[in-house]
Amino acid sequence: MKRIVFYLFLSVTVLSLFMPLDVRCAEKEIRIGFMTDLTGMLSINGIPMKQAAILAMEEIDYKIAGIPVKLIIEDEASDPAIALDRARKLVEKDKVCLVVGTIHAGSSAATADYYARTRTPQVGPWYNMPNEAQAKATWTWMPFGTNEAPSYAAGVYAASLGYKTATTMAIDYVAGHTFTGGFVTAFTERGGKVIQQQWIPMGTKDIAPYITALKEADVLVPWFAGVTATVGVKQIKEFKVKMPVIFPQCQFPAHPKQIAEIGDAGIGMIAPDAYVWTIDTPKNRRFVEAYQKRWGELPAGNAGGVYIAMQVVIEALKKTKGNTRNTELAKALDATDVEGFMGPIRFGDNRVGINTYLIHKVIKADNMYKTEVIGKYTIKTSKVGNKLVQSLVK
Amino acid sequence: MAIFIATILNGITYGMVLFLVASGLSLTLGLMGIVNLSHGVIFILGGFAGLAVAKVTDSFVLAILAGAFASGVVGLMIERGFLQFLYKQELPQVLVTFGFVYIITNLMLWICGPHPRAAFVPSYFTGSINIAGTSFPFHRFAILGIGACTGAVLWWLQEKTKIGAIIRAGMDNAEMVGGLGINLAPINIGAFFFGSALAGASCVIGVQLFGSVNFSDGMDMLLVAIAVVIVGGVGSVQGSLVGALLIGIIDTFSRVYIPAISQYTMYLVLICVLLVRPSGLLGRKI
Repeated sequence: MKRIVFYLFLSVTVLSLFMPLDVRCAEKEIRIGFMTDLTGMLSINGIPMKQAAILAMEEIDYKIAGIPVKLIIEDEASDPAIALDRARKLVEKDKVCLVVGTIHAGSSAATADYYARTRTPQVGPWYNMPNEAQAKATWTWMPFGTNEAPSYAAGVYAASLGYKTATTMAIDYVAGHTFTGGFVTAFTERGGKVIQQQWIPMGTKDIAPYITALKEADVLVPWFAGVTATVGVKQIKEFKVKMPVIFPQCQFPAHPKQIAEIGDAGIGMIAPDAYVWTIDTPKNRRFVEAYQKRWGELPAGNAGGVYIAMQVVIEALKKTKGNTRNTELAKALDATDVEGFMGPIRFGDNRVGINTYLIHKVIKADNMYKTEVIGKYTIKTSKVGNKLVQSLVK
Repeated sequence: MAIFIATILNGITYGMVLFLVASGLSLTLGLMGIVNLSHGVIFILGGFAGLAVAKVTDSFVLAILAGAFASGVVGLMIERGFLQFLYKQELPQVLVTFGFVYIITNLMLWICGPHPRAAFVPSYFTGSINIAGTSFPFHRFAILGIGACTGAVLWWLQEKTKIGAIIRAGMDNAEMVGGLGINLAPINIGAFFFGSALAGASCVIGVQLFGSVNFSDGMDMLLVAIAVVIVGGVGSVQGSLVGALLIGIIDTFSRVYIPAISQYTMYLVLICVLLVRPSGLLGRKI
């Protein structure tokens, strides 16, 4: 008898470990979790993201379908362990019905599994998930695509210019590998050859050794995380690198303050992005005006991303009439059809958005550093076997 | 050959910046026995202050002075407010100074925002020199010169002046120095201010090498500065210089020629020196 009780107890314990947690939302108000980096390496992105999320909430007066909304903001500090801890706090203690975040690719991959286990919808605020992690993330929606999507567009663009060889240089962590990876896939699919790949350890202060070791290619493809883009771009110019530069993901060109801080060193550099503040559409003009009025500055790329991600969330909650049950929310998110800055936001395979990415070139006009659009590609992410792959739609 | 020469120059320049950062840390650790983990963030604070002044005045000298002053004052506040009560208590020192890393970092983030500050390169340091087909920025040579001059002045101060003699004596036996009627307290205060000011000034100078400074650089720089102090030997100007150049050159070479292990080469140097000479290459024997 004791044995039977013991085995029963053991079975219950083991089963409870593997059973998805049914974490329910609070009932009298809608609680939305928001997580980004407010104090770490990516806070240059995180702070504008937070501002955009607050703006989106203020615009609806913190109410959806007549129900008060509470936005609970957490700091992931560019640390996957902290992100996971905060995700637990948001879901289990705050009882949020969904989470918008994170920004650090490692944090996103780390938390996606937890959100899947607790069946909590997670909406990506920007490119923050690698293909590999998104392929396994069953409760994560990525309106702007995975990391590889914008960089795939950059690879297509580089090949279209007739470049045959490329040399890459990126910060050695998951985002560096995946952003570079998207470029390499598109470039090599179109006959290009990558002759050198350099990985810069996190925390490297002087990038000069990597610049002096660069092999001569048709194009240089560098990727620097967050604030380190300023160092990278400056040093590339200081060492008079003659190769044209195409970033696999837009960084400083989409940051009004960073592009100004980098100044002339950034002129001529090219990068893909789904958002920059100069996009000339009525929706974006309204957003830029509202953001400037509220925060006294121009919105960075990630701010635009978050603003649209929040629209996706608000529309989904409107569709459910404020019902925060996860299955209802998932259905509503799947049926997303929100107008973004560049066209409608819809989800394809594995809940990854099909997006149009603009190819930007940094220019100086009217005594101001900004970007001009020199290309436009729509990239689709499809599931092939167990993997996610990108392809060019148009 | 061009890559080899450029790598040597990059290594020496990087080493010189490390020397500037580490010498202040070495001084406070050697003289006062204070494990100051806030040294890295004091370094960054000086950079932010100096670059702000440079933006307004367009003066490199004023930027250095402002960076040094800001860091010195903050360092002094930490020492007078907290560390003076914690002499010879390493663990509380570590906890307090580590706490200041977070406090100062977040205050800076709150006041200055998350955007990195681009380096200020004065017009007389711009341009580049062609060395064996590689374009080498002129301001890197300027860093070499400033570092060498600072090293010479520090060496003279420590080895050839009365204050230097008191500092060295204080490192060896503070009680005996006190017994001789010398009040070490003002020397300690001055040394802490000077060490912190040196960190702030070195950020304004070193940021020319790094291209920009951001508030999260403090911890990275602290780690390297501690490694330099351990390799070179605590409380020795010459030791800091040798340790910094050794780490700078080996680290730079490994990034170019053996990138797969470049992340660990600094630690390999550290381990080797600790095994052969635990007091550091030019430190006083333990």
